[in-house]
Amino acid sequence: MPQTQDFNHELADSHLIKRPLAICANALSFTYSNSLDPIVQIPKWQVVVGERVFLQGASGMGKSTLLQLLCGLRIGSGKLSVEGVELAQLSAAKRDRFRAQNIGVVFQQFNLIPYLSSLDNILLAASLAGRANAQTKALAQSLLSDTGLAPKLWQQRADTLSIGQQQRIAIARALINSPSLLLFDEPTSALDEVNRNLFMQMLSTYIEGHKNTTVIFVSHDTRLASYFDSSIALSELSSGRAGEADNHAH
Amino acid sequence: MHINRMLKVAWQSLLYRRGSVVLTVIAIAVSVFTLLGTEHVRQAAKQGFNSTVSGVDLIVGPRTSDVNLLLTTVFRIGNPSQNMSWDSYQGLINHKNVAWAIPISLGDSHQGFRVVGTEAPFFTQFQYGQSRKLTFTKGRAFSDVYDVALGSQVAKQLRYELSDKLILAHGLSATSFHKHDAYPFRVVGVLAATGTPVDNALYVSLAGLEAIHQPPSNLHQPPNNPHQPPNNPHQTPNEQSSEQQPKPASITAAMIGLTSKLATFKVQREISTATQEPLSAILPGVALTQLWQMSRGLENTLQLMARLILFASLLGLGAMFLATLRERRYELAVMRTLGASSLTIFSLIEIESLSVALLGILLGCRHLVLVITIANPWAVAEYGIDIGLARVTSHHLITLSYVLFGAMLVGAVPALMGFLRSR
Repeated sequence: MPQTQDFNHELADSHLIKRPLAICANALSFTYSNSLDPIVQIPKWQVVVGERVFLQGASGMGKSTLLQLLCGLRIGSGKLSVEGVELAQLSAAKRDRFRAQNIGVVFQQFNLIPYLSSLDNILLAASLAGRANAQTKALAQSLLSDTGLAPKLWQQRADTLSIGQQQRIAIARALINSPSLLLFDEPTSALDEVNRNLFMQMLSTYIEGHKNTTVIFVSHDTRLASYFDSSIALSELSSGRAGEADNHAH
Repeated sequence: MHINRMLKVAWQSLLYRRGSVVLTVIAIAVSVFTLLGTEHVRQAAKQGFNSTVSGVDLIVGPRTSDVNLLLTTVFRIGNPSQNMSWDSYQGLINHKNVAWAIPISLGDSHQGFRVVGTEAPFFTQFQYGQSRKLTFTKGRAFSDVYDVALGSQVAKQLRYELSDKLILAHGLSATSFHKHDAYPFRVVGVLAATGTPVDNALYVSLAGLEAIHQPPSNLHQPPNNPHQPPNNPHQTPNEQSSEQQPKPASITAAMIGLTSKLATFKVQREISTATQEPLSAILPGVALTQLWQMSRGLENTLQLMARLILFASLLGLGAMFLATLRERRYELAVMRTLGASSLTIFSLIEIESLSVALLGILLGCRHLVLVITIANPWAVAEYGIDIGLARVTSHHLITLSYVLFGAMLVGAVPALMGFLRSR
């Protein structure tokens, strides 16, 4: 896996960062083919390993596109390294592999393959990361147990579960490969208060035990910002005010 | 992704869409059934016809087309409109190049089965398949005027045993109003199964056939050929010597074997150009070739229709997957986010397409076996053609591989679209 040449250099440049960078964006820009204006334009952005960032922004600001860039589903112009790896330098196949092994993603909805059981949804993620082995199933069951989902529902088809249950399973699936980067795209917006609290509780518990996992949590619900180390608006990223990786700490 | 996991995902995906999948599977099953069924019956009929007669050099009968004479004489399909005279038959026997001759006389029946009037050489000279001779599972060939030997299917279906008595009927319909009640025949033998029309007939002597067509008043004074001297009026036909037994004035046809194959065309020409009676002499193999040439148009039409049905069902398969792509966009997006490559997405849709085709093939083959198993006794009884599935031939496998290849091709279209959309 090619390391970005300036990864350690970036680390040395910053006086505030004591840990390596999980995300390093320089002049990152992305424009859809049917548009003239870039949807994402970030002069400079750095997130250190283990940092939990709350990213807010109105709809249509490019939050989801940014997450797609971060997980290598889209390639923009400029430089973007994730966990020290410049994604644009990887072949499509290696990028897919990198995503499967290092990044966990939870969306707003439609997170699960509807015809697979909860357990199979999680095992699919492990299989795509090349980690399907004897211990994987036990780990998947353990993660499902953490979701609070009754074991009898583990074999039930995903589309028969409630949205709240599906979102918790989505977290379990995102965690099965012990990712170094977790991306959340409005994961609580379809949940009621009870399920939202359950979701955030589960996420907090995981974060507590995994100090080296970097989290980017995109939401327009600013009440959730308190769960994270720092909060930043997408507009600030675009204006370059987050360039020094000194976001608004709580 | 591990192949087992991919197969499981593909299977679950198909189950999730089982409504449209089942319809597509049925469509493919129907096309496979038609494609394999028509070809199988065609091959079985061809093989059955080809193996019906063996070792016969010429078939001689009244002037008619080669195919008509072949169908009437060998396969007993259709009715003879004319006969050849007994004198002409005698002339054949006495021909220097003729080694043996089997007379065939048709026109009567028994409960829907044809009655064949013939003579002893039928049981010793007639061959079928790969030069196989007729054998008896029970009893022997007829020796007396009112003896009858049964084909295996006749004995099986009508449950006749040796020494049972049976009555022949005039004409060929299953229900005849004109029965030869006064002349019961005694079962003396049952032939071993041959898988040819031989199994579906009863065999009596020409003398027996001639005797039953005499008026009842002649019961103890059997009629004679006009060329023969009168019989002892106190003897039944069974008690008469073979010379005294009644001989027919004419027969339907005769199968002949020659002393040398080299003489075949010479004898054929002699018979065909004989002036005393217009006769045809045909080579069974040549007549069969003519028959296949005549039926080739129908065969090709059936094959074309079967292939069109397959084409339509495969298009349906492609259309089904294309239609589901829209509803699967989130599912495919989730897979891509989880790290599935575009190639994985392509492979997944291809596996689903091939699975549907495979299910259709299995269903089609299963029903084909079922239908053939049910229809085979009828085909054997009606036409003497065994259409049973003896084994899977390379032709079956090639046809099925075409179906799978076709499914792979049409599945590639939605798979490619899924691939491109997921890039």
